[in-house]
Amino acid sequence: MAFDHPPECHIHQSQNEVQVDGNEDDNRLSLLPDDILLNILERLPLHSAVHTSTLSRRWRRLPFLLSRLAIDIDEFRRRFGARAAVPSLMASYTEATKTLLAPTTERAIKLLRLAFYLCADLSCLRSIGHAVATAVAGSGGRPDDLAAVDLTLWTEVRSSRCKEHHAALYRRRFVSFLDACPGAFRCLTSLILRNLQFAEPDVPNILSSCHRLRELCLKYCGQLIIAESAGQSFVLKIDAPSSSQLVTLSLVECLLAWDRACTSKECGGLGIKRLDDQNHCLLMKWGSPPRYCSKKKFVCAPRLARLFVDTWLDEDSPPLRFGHVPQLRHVCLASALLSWQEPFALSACLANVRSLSVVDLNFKDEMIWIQPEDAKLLAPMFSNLKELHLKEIFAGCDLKWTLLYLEAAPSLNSFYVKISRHICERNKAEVVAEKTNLLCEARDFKHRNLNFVEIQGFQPEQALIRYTRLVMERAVNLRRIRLRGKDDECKRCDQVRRRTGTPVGSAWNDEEKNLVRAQIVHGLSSSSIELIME
Amino acid sequence: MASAGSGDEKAAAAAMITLISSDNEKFEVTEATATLSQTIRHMIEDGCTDGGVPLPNVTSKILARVIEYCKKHATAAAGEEGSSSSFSDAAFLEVDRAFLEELEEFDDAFLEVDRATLFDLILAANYLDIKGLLNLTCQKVADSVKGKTPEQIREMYNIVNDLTPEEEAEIRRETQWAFE
Repeated sequence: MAFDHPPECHIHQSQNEVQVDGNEDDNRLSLLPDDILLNILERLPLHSAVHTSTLSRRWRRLPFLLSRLAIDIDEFRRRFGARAAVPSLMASYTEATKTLLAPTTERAIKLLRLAFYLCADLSCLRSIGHAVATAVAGSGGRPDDLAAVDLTLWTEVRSSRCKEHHAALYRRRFVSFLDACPGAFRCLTSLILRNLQFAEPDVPNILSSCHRLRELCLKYCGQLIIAESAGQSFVLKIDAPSSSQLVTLSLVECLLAWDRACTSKECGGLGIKRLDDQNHCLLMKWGSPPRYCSKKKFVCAPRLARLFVDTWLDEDSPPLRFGHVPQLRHVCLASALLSWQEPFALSACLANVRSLSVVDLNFKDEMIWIQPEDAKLLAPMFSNLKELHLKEIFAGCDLKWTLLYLEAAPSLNSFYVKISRHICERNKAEVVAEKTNLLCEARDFKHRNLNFVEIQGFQPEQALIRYTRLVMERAVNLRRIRLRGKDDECKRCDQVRRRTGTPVGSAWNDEEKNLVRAQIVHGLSSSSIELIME
Repeated sequence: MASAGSGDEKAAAAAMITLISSDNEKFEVTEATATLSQTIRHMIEDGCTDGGVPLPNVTSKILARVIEYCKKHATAAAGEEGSSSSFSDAAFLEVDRAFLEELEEFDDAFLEVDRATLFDLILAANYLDIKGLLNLTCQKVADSVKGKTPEQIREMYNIVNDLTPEEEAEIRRETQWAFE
């Protein structure tokens, strides 16, 4: 995004060759041209920026000419104190939005970041929506000049306490807001929603109403749905219109499909409780695993480039499939396998995807949720893959299965494996599947493009040394391999260590390094490979 | 687009550009360094840099500092281009990360100047249209104001309050939410 400086930049500098470091000179702040002062004000918290309007006449109008604004309810909450009630926060927020976005011909809004509560008072939401729509529309300009408008909607009840009736209420509020302010939603380029129990047409509605939307993030959204004939089962279907601009889609702890008839009443909302926000620890509170329908869940979006799915609760495997996604380059899937889920073949999930360049799979220290398969089946999806991350694999897991993904991806040039050394069982819960080892034969093949391998969570264990050698034998053009022993910092692990008296793994000394190095390269013609150990 | 002929002529001397400060001092810089300034980039594109680029708004003292900044950041820009062509090559990323840290340290040290110089740098960055430098220097001013009351800011920057009490009260009324 360019700052367009008008050609007639005012230069006040050095009009006076003989400068004295005195008061005269200090007054120079106010003498700076408007665009510079606005640049400075844009870097201040909103309230501070507005306070400068009382400095002097020179400053009076400036805060209302900002072209990049972040109006964040969090700043209001901090000023009001933690106990402030949502209605008064939102009243203040609405006033702020109205004054700061008041139409003026003197500025064109370039970036607008809004974050506020999806509150009960529709008139607040309506005023904000109206202010946004007029401010952005009033800015005019060519379509590419249009402002980037990000909206984050918060709910009064946090996701960890959000019950089904809350989620249903928030969904109704959201739908009313969307209906009441089509102009505002039409401007949006990014939208983050949470705790909404979506009904059948909501997601398609959002995608067609917000036709500039480039980024959509749904967190803890219960039903992402297209109703089946009887209206009993619900299936995630992100079917964007062909004109959709959607580039990034994130689904965090969303239930991608479920069968309403089978859901137990006790589960309350999504039935997920965050035990510990910092460690993203989950406890699923279902008494018995719900049964799910096995409808096909498709994502279709013509420009979608990045998809992030963190934690799915479905019984269905794979949790989602793809339709028309010709530009999907980066897929990131992260979840702990739950007891009612079966590992699935990645090729079944990624069928139809041909443009992948980065794949990132995170197993959250728990059971591996992909099923080893014939590399040939994956080859069409992985033919352009450049970078593969396999993260948080539980310690002790045999890693030979990972080789099949190398075999399936002949263009791969960087390969990252991360073994979880967490001893705090951060993602362990009753509903998480038992871990069993994944045994798989190492097939023989040569990989010609792989030039970098990183193994994080490396410890000088025979199995890992053997695995490293297996990779090196196959990657005939490998240039660099990095073995990282260092653990991530984790307070919960520290607590466990203190409780059980387990020592912290010490850094490797040179002797150990040399020993490991010798074992790894023994008998391999790999003198050209740079081996880094840290 | 320049014609092929003038392009060739330029290519011979493409490497170096002469910048001339308001007090007539000449600075020889590479084109990569000079084109961090959009203003100079446009002049080069228009082919009007023969015989040096006069910068009547920038003193030699300030120009020397600006060039110091541009030199450092031109290497960074070159690094970015290199890494984008092989974005997944971890070796490049590694180098980038270390270099970015170094760059940050450079920027911090670069901003250790008195206020008059800071304002001169802001104006020079604005005139020469060097986005990075303008943002850096504006951030420095913003940081100095952060958390201060209007009265403290006035005192700090010697701003005379020419608002009448009535006007000030009116502003406060209009933006009551900000003073709650």
